[in-house]
Amino acid sequence: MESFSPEQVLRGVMNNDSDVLKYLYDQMRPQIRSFIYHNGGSEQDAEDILQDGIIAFYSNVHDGKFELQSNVKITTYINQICRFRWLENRKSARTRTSVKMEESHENLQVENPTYFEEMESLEKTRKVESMFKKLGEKCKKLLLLFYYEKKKMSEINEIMGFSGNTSKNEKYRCMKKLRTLYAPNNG
Amino acid sequence: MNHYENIHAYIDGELSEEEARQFEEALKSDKGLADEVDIEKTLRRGIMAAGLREQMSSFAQGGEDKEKKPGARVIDFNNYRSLAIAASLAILLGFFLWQTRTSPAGDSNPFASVYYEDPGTPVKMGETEDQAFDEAMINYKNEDYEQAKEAFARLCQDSGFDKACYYEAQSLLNSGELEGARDQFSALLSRTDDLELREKSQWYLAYTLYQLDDETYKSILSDIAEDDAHRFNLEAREVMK
Repeated sequence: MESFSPEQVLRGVMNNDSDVLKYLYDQMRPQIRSFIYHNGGSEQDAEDILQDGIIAFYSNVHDGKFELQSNVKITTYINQICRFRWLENRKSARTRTSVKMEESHENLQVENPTYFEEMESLEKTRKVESMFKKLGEKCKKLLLLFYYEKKKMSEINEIMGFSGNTSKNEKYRCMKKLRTLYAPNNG
Repeated sequence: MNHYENIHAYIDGELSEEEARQFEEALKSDKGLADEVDIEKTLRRGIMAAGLREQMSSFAQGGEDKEKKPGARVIDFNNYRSLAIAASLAILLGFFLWQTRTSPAGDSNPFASVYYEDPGTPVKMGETEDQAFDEAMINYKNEDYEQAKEAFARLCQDSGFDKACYYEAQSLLNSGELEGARDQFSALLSRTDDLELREKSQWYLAYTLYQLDDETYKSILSDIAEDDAHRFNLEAREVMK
């Protein structure tokens, strides 16, 4: 498996480099699976929590909120977010299961207020994702091309078979639809 | 520029210095505008998350969507085949070197860092369907493997329900009845077409054989390590290091 320095990981995450994203995913997957399984979770739980952790890290990098520190590894940072997320999930679903937990918040070497903010932000992100799924295929594709893949309008025109200002107008229309779905009173 | 275009331009850093200063002044006094900017940023974050989640799901399935990679190289089939052959040779070489190591009994457990017991499946309390399976699963999750083993064995024999046979094998493994677990995993592998059960059975059979000091576990691990799409591919590679 190709290895990347922390600086390369940050750069790769900023540029959506799929080699770097896969490297990060592969690095995190065994430890998160092991943690979730040992704390009463299923395979799907492990996958969801792992993806949430990487998304939180990715969002913070893109928002300029993540800074490399010599004493905190990127994988440790993501690991702690995943653990906190899992514990929060279990806390809210405690009545559904009697499976024992081996981990508790006290075992996490994190500043909890920071992670509570992370959880709040993740919840909002999750809500947008679920509204995003309700958009039509054309809107989803266009918005992903523009915001995730960072394509220029001219490239989107070519990919989508549009011309002139169609991509720009369609993007505006799709964003308006998404905004209405996410925050009906602010549409 | 209309209201939303203005917000977009501000978030994208496309306003002039003076326009940005005026916008930020407005943000301080206009709570509604600040909320709208916040929502706009959240929407963008959500769209990016949706894209990233889609990409990670392809990683989970052992794939990698090359179209998503900006400036991705297109690898023609012949090159790809060469790479695949090289990768297979590398794995085989690693496997050969690994085979020449001392027996597992003499080493620290190579599974230690990646092994976990199968956590079982979610139990849908209150539903009558598959109730016998759910009751067995509750015993399993409560680590009452004796009860779980008997209940799963009955289901396995009576209905030939492969998942029940699989968890019978897991119960045997977790209660230390290694020969029984080995036989049950092997029997399941010889007949089931369920990919998930097959992959899990392979991995846990390898672990069981390791526990039994049976060297054939290495060839199973090698098969798993060569299959990039296998759900225990990374774990097998880790054990083989």
